[in-house]
Amino acid sequence: MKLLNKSAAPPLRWRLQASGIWAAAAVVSSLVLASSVSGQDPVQYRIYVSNEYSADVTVIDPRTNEVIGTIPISGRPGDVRPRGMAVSADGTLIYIAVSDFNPEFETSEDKIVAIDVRTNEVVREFRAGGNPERLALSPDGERIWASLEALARAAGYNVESGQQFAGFIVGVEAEGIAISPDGHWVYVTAEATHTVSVIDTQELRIEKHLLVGNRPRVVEFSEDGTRAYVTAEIGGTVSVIDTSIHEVIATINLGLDSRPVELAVDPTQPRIFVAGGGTSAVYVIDVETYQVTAIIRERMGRRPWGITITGDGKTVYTANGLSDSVSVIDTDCLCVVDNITAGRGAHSAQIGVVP
Amino acid sequence: MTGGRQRSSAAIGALLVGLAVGPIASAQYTGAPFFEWTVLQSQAFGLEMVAQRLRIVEALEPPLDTELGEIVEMMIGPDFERFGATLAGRDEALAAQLHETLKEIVEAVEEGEGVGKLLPVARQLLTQAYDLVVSPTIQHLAAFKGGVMAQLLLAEGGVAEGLEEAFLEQWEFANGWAATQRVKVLWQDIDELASDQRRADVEEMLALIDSIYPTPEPPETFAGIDPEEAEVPAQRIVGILEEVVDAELYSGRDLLRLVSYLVELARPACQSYEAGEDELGREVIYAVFDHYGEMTGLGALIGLFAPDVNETVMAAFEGLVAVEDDDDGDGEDGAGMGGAGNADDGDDEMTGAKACNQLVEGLEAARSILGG
Repeated sequence: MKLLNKSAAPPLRWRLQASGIWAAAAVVSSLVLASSVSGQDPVQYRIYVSNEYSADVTVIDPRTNEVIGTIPISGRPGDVRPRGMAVSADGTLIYIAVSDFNPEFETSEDKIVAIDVRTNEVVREFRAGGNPERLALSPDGERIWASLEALARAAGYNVESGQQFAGFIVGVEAEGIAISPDGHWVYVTAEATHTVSVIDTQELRIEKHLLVGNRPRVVEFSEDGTRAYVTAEIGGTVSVIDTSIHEVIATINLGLDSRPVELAVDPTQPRIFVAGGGTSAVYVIDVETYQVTAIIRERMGRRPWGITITGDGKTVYTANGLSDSVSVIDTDCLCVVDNITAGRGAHSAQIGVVP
Repeated sequence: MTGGRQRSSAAIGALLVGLAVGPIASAQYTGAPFFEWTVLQSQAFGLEMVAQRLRIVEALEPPLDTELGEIVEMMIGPDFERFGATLAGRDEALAAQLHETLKEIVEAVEEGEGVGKLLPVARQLLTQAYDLVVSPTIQHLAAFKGGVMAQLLLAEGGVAEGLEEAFLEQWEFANGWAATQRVKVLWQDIDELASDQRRADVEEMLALIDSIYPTPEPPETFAGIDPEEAEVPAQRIVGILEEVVDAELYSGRDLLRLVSYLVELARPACQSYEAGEDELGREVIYAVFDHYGEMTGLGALIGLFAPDVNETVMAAFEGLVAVEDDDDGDGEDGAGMGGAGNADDGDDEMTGAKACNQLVEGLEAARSILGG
């Protein structure tokens, strides 16, 4: 795997995220410029995989597919678990949703931590009661949003002060959360109510709740922000939402036992990759025709839950919870080309630029 | 058996084979046991839960922890209420004998006495009752068995919930253990229908569940245990079961279809209440509640869109069935026995009928909210 030789520019999402931060913008812009001059893509990435049961984060270099580090999150694995993550545009910080295992009680373990990946030190810590599960960072990098599973709420925090500036009731067992590329909308899924709640981040109000497939897990926006995709684990579907009207305009059927969970939007082609948790498969969906074009099973790790894709769209990584591994998928052959050992209970996968 | 009960039994009987509300099966699977045999599945679940409590009593010799005693006591409360009236309609003596035996076991447990002699009697009566309430032909259908397994795996008192609930009431752990034992037996009945890969997958998940529930006794501490640890393999098994038994085992995939169905299911139950046949009506309402509650998330959804409607529905349920816990305040000798000998029949009829009609109105409102 020689990602350094790929010449694709960073995806739109990265450019949008970088635009709001002077320092990050300078970094990314200079890298894009360098890329166009040299014909090579100097942007280097790191893959971060949160491990629920070993309470740490595995760091993978996608150039070599080797583990280059492990970031400890807690000295009490089994009691404290990291799950959802977000990476700052300049790649210096990863934000991690941390909680205990008991959703019935709000404890001091329920929080968001920001870790400087250059030192592996916790540089900020936000109180986030109610089992924070997943995170979404605003494009300007100033706000972070969390789904609070136990409270059926979503909350927004200022990343500098750690202050919560907004909180909304959403569906029961809030899980997936994503923010639109323009920063205007936050979508939050809820497992038990089968809903997506739409938050207007400018007016700071709930725009609407909408019904999607059965047991929705994760939501992601398209690169241009016109669509959002929502997996439904028991429904075996992906709902396609028109974000201009916040309505489901199509439902893609993956089969009742497909068990879709996380998904990754290809930044280079109109397709998404969907992790089929319990079925140990990854589904490739053409989002123009709404057809499943491939199902990747061979050599897949067990129970792929998290999934992410590199900026050039060439490689997909899945976090496999039962096999404690990361599967590496080449998106040209749509085949697994490597499996990497991760921590125990690999949960989510995120990609960030190397600071 | 009274003439009134015969008429109501006939009305309820029509429900046992399902209602014609839209297509029954999904496009992918042929069967849909929770739509085809909604009340029968609920009755089977009640019978299974009685067997489960007996399994716990056998595994954990009295004296039992008070909390565990309360769990066991549910077999003469909500468990029995799921099928007792139908059983009494078919064999009143058997229903009375079974209830009495179960009651003796509960009392013995409360007193810290052994129940060795009573258990085989109870089991024998329960087997007879099972065959009378759910015909063996249906019992042995793979799709029906899949429905029973799905409930044992996912419903309250089952495999997945046993561990999660144990974080609040530790002896719920015993329920999870006992449900696991039964699921393993039922799987042996149908595993020949599975492909080698599916069989291996289920057995791997069962082994995982076995490791979570090595004994009926809860662990000394739950520290380091994920309360949802049993849910993952339980859900996985149900997903595989759907393919193995060729039947849809999640009733809530299409919530509009479900709520429309529940309206039609509940309506005749209200006629039973109006006829003073509360116990027969209650059996149906248990089935309605199963699919409104946590198994499908329908109630939670309505609670998000229209909290007042959900409150109306839940208040109605609370007036009709044991929603959260066993109701030991009811007349012990009459609980689940077709109302015979209940001195408060008059008031109960009015209350039950009113609550049932309120439930139907609430479900109709829920249907409208979902676009029906």
